Amino acid sequence: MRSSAASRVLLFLILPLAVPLAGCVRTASPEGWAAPLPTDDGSLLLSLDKGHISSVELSSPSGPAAVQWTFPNDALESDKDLDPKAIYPAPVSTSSAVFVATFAEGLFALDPATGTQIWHRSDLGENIVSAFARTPDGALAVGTSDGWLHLLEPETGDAAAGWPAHGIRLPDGIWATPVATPDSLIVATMGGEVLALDYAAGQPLWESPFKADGAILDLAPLPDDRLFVPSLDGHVYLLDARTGQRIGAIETDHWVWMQPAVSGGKAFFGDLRGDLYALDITAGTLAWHAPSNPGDNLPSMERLKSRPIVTDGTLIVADSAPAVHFLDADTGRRLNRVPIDAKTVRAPLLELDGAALVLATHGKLFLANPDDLSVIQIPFGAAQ
Amino acid sequence: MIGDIFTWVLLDPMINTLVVLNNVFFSSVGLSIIVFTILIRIITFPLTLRQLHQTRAMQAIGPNVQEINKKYSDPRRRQQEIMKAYREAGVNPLGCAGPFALQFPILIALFAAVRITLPQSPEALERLSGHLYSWSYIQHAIPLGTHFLGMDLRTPNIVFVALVALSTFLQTKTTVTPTTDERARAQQQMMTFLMPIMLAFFALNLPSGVSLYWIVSGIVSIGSNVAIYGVPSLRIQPLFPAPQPTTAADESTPAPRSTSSNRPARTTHGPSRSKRKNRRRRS
Repeated sequence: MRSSAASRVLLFLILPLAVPLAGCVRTASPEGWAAPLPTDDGSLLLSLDKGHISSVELSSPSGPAAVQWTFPNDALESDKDLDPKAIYPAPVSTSSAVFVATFAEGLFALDPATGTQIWHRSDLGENIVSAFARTPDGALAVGTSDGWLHLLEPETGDAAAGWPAHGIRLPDGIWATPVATPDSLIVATMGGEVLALDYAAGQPLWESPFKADGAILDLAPLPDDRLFVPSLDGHVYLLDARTGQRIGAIETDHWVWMQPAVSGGKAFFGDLRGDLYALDITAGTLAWHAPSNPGDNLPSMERLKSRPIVTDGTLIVADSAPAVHFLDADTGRRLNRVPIDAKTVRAPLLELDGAALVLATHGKLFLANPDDLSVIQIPFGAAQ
Repeated sequence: MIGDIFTWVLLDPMINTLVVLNNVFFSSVGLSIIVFTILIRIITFPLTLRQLHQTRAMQAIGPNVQEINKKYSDPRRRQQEIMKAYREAGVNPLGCAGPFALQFPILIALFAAVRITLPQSPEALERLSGHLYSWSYIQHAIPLGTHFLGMDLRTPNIVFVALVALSTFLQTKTTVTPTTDERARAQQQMMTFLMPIMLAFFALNLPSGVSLYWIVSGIVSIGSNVAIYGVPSLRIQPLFPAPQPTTAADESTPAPRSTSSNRPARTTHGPSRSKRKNRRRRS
């Protein structure tokens, strides 16, 4: 009987245990990857903690950094119940407001001096991933993961004149950052479509939308009215931004989920396997391809999510290891690799006085210097 | 290292199979989970059958073991006698643990596969990319639809929570076997109600996709329990009746014993000795 009871206990206890154990299998919660943004007053807007944005002042490019304000601020009545979970798109900064699109709480207009709320829209749609941009005339374009596209007045957060108050519903979710040209708002969907809409009423401008076989997670403008369109179908497409016509395409080894660095007529980008590519923008062909393990006695490059930068002919990329890699932008030859003490890097790099500002998850800041191929951590001073 | 093997052998194939099934079954991730769960349960059915038969056999010799416990005060001797009783009945005390131990990693991988395939955040989608095979048929399907019957499979749903509780209750009910032992009966009674409550609590905190797996798995379990045990109260006979425990002495003649009987199976002089020999010895 004892063994029978033991086996019964085993059966009945281990079975339900499987559920919480499976729950422990690491599933990534939203953390965000908002790009650092320099503002007109010389400070930086950084997402130092998930779901938060901070105004940070750097005494010099190598620090120390001092936090001026953080939003949401639990000490404020208006903020204490907010749970934005994460911030993916870079904020938009003007002299009168800072606009922050959050994953779970919608869009906020903040006072640039204090970080307090001016207005808030929580009714835009399901989640905002990276689909947030400012149009040339100052309106705010926001896309949501359930396919709603809005064009909003920056002063009030209301729909722009001519646009439906509830936005325009596209057939699939919008994750990619919209491209705002002088004449059109170009959006990409998770269904693999790229379409251009006019600002007046959101009417389609191209004869027909561009259609890829896989979802489009990112979108970026390139010089000469071209568009960078990476798709999960294993291609990066080059489109004419005026017509939506395909100019070229290159095949990639894994998903490309970043905006490229543009320099010298080339677009530089990496994939989630760690390979790097240089695309000739004019010809629409591959200039070079550096595999994740180029056999140069340095450890392989890991997943590349963070947009690289090019400065003085040096391509600087940060991988998920995390490590910062310095490469020759002309050839793709690796010059150095510097591991950094952080969890990972997903936020796009920012060029700062000829160096690269690297924002790691959990708010660690680093400065990668192409002159001596080194990386230093920027310390944080006391909050003001 | 173990994590890598688990991922390579179980988790990645399961995630990719889920995506393929999603493509086959009208881009419905809900249907994909249902079909996938049924497939896994069919594949592991021989293990389930063996486990349930072993459990039933253990229960059948329970009265004998009880008798031995009463009779022998020396723990070592008692253990020897119990082991002997198991051996003679053809029961391995670890018999139900073995098949279950084999199924356990499969179960964990299945749960994990459902969770990973339904990413709740952009970071989770990035993680999913590392599990997918590079076949375009799979890559083009990402991201999968997240709704089934109007419900978001990435978040907990009260309807699924209720169905998890109901299917677990029925599953436990059909697993429970008749026993004359008061303690065992009380234990069974407690499990019948405790299990659904526990699982409903877990389901409240897990994505509905995992709950859907649990519901379908529960329905399949109810079906296999009915097929193996039958439903005596409804006079439904088992399709795969458990083999009766046999002893060395009566291997030539099939066991006549009732599985639920309290009667000691053998005389106190040992199971291998016949009644006639015992009578001779007493005289």
